[in-house]
Amino acid sequence: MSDTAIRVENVSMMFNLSREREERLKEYVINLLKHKLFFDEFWALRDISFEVKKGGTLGIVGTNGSGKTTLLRLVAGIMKPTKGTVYTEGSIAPLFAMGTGFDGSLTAKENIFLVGALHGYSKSYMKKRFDEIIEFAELQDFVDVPVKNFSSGMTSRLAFAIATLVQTDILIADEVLAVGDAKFRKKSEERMANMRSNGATVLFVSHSSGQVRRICQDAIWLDHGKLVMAGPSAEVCAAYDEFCKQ
Amino acid sequence: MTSFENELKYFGFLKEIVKRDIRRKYYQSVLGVLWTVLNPLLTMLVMAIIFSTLFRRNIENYPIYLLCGQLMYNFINGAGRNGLGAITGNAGYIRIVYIPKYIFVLSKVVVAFVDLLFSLVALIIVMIFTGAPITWNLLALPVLFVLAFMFALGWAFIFATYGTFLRDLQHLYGIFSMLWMWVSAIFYPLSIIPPTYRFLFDLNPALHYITIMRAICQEGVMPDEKSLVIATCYSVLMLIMGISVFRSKENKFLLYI
Repeated sequence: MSDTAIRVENVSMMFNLSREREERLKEYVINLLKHKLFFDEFWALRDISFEVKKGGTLGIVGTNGSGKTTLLRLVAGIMKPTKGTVYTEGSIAPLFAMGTGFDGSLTAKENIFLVGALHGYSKSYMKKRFDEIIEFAELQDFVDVPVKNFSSGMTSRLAFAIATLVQTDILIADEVLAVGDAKFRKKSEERMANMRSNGATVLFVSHSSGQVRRICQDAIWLDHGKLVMAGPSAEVCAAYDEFCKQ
Repeated sequence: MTSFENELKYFGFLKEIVKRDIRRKYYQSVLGVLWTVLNPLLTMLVMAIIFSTLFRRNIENYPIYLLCGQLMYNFINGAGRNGLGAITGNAGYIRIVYIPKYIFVLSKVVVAFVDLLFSLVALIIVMIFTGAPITWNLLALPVLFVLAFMFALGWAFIFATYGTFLRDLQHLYGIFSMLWMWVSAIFYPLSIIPPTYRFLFDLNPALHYITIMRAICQEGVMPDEKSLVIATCYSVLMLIMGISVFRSKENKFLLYI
């Protein structure tokens, strides 16, 4: 057992933009004829290395398209890096801004069991914790309403309540707190602080350097896939804010 | 946690998405899951009215002949069609957590299989009504279903893989299904096929499963060894092929969804 929760070593991630667009047979054939198939590389991340100790909190700041979400996906194990290695220890609870895993046509109740199963919780366990989830998400009156009729705040509250249901070793949060109102934001920050004091490691991504400053001890700043700066969150955020003002 | 327990963890999720797919299929329909029984019954009725005068002399108990072909074909063809959307349709999950992707393909085949099991009710009803031989040989059906499931799973793996990269396959599959249906001898007796074209039918894996099912349900006999051996070979080969194709490409799916 080491005291490192996340270790990212010389990680680079390359996407082949031309290959991603070949959804149609016609385009595929045209590209094949033009010999364009294997070009147009895009490096979303280049040679990133960092380490997070157990119980540590690392914030990631950067502008849109700087590679923050790609980095989180690599740590969560959803993607494999083109180069380098990602090492994590313990269970991971991911919370992504781009999707909650909810199925719009199903009710909140059905979705809780579905997403609970997705995170690997058994049905009997979810039944036991069901009321608690609903209460935390403040959705008592909407249990049997299809999620497609929910506001974005309601959806993200529910997603947060499920993902943080149990104490995990690593919590990955991608701008999740940005959507809720001030009251819920406070509640969710409290819950994250709680998990942290119980030994969870937190990887947190946000546009808002204010939140990163408040939640994280350390931070890294990404720009166009490169690591610009790493250090205590106050310093990194100050530099990032300065950069954004320009 | 051992790796087996780790896999087991995902079976809870498998159960949930199978339930979701079934629920979604009958979303807001009054009769709900009863349609899986009614649908083959009604189709059989229509087909029986149209074709029974044509082939009356050639086929004994035409309704059962028809149902066996139809149910088996629907299962295998449905597994492939469902498989096409297994990855793209579950993009929402694949984007946010790590989960073994074969679970999604497996779930689609299970959904098609549940349909098959429900339709068996229709088959049993018709068997009783038409006085088909109900024998101990019916106990061979589970063996056939295991073989057909293996084949369908391999088949679905292949379409799940290429369907993710090439969305056109969804449209092509409809045309292919139609052709496949006609070379599966569902509505007509194989004896009307000129010998020159018979090899086309022998090459069709679905027909072997259908023939075995007909032997069991329509004739009430044990399927002959030759057809069982051929069907087993098709099942094993298709499953191995499907798994290897899927595994070689599954890490690229995320970029295409």
